[in-house]
Amino acid sequence: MADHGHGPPHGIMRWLTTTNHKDIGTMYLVFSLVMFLLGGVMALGIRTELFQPGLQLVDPAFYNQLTTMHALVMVFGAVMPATVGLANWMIPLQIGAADMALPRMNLFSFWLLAFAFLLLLSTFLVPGGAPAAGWTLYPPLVLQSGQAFPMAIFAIHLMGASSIMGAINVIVTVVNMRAPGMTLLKMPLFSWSWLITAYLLIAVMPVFAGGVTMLLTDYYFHTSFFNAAGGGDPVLFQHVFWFFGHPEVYIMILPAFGIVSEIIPTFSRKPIFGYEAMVYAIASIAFLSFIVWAHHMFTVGMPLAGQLFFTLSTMLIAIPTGVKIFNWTATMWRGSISFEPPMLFALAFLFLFTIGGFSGLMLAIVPADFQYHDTYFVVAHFHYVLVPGAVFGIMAAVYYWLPKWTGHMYDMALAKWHFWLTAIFVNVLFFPQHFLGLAGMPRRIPDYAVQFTDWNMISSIGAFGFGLSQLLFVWLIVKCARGGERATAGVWDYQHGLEWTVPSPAPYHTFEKAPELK
Amino acid sequence: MNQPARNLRLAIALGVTSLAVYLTFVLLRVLESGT
Repeated sequence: MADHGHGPPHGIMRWLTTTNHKDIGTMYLVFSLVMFLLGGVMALGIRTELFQPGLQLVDPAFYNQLTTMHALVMVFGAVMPATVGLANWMIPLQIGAADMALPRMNLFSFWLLAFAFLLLLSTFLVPGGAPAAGWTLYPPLVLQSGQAFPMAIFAIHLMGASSIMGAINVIVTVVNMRAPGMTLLKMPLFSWSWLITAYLLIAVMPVFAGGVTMLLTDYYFHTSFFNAAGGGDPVLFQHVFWFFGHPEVYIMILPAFGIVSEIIPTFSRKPIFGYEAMVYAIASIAFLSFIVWAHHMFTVGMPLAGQLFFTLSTMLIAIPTGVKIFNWTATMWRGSISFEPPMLFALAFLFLFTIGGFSGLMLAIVPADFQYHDTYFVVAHFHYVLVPGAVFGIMAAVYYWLPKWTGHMYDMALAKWHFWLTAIFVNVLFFPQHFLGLAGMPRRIPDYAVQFTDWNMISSIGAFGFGLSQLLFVWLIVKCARGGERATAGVWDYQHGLEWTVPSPAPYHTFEKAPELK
Repeated sequence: MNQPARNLRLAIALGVTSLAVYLTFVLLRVLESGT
């Protein structure tokens, strides 16, 4: 039998051939950070162009490529892989498993994703440039794409396959590999949130794959799934896309909910308030995410019954989300709260994600949506959900578990600088976009009427402040990985969960013998 | 049944489920449109 007491192998082969969940988790996290910076550079290109009216930096065709690729890179390259990286690192540690259930498939998922992004990013180099029809890939516009089209579709299929395999791995790990005594309702909320997220992925990624396969056959084999002239219907694609696209939002945000549910109890020094309600709330949100998709497409002209159904089902999401916000607040109530960087990010998440939630409710009201649709108000809304929502959740997780991963405490002062600059600039960046949208500025345009200038300038200044602040984050992580004060096994004053029972840094192999649960 | 076998069985079941979802969305549309 192989000796499992060894450390990691050395050199590049460690990373190419590893099946260790911690190594694969690290690779996902590093990949995600690189994509976050790359997507960020694209965003800065967009915001530089929008600093003033008129065309200064890029031509409109390239601008459309930037908006499309920024979205694809951030959604599929930055946020999703970051949460997969966290799942790889933390789920086995939280449930007392030795590794993920299917380690070779785990490695395959990662390299498939890396290859998919190499393919997607290389579309910038082909004649006609990268995809430019928006991340929603609506036909007939997307069918006018050049050589990038089949490359992008293939890349999306590969990303989807990678995500599905990652999700299968999470489900099998959680269902089959929990330590004896770790019943489902004892499981940490981060692992719970990922279990539900994994089911969402399995349910909707194939739908997206089906949609883009149909686009591919319309493009190459002259089928007419979405071609009205051949008896098809372009609106069908919108239904298929958003049946995937809305749950996709929850795929990005549910792990962040799980992270916040880990962090708030630790820094309030109290157990989570209403654990079971938190589990049921996540499950309810996941269920509701399947029956709200058409709120993204009210303006296609749907029957009144459809409008009413999708408005009301969307508003229902506020109930389980409200339960979560209430329970996080109740956890802090009379707690002994301290404001270390993970808690700061979790608190900012609470306030700022809620703003995104409220603007979502505004968008759910059909007559109001007719006004807001395709304006900067929508851009402001989903960026509040995804940046101070999902991204802040991921940053909170990094600050929470980084000492466990590296064995070193990080520079607290630098982390607080990073937090405050990020939290201030994210609002300077995105809050004015609400005003621009309400005043009628359309999204996805490189030029605009002069009355929109002032808020655009402020937003662009916020973008550069936000972008530059992230260099502090990168520097802090590099510094922490290289050295620093030794972290204890428990790291924080008040810990809960098996991950804090192993030394810091977590040994290469953990829980080879299942832990005893009290 | 040992654990790796149970893991594989569940993974295959989930994989088949995702393939079924994919095919449902494409094939149903093909059958419905008669193309």
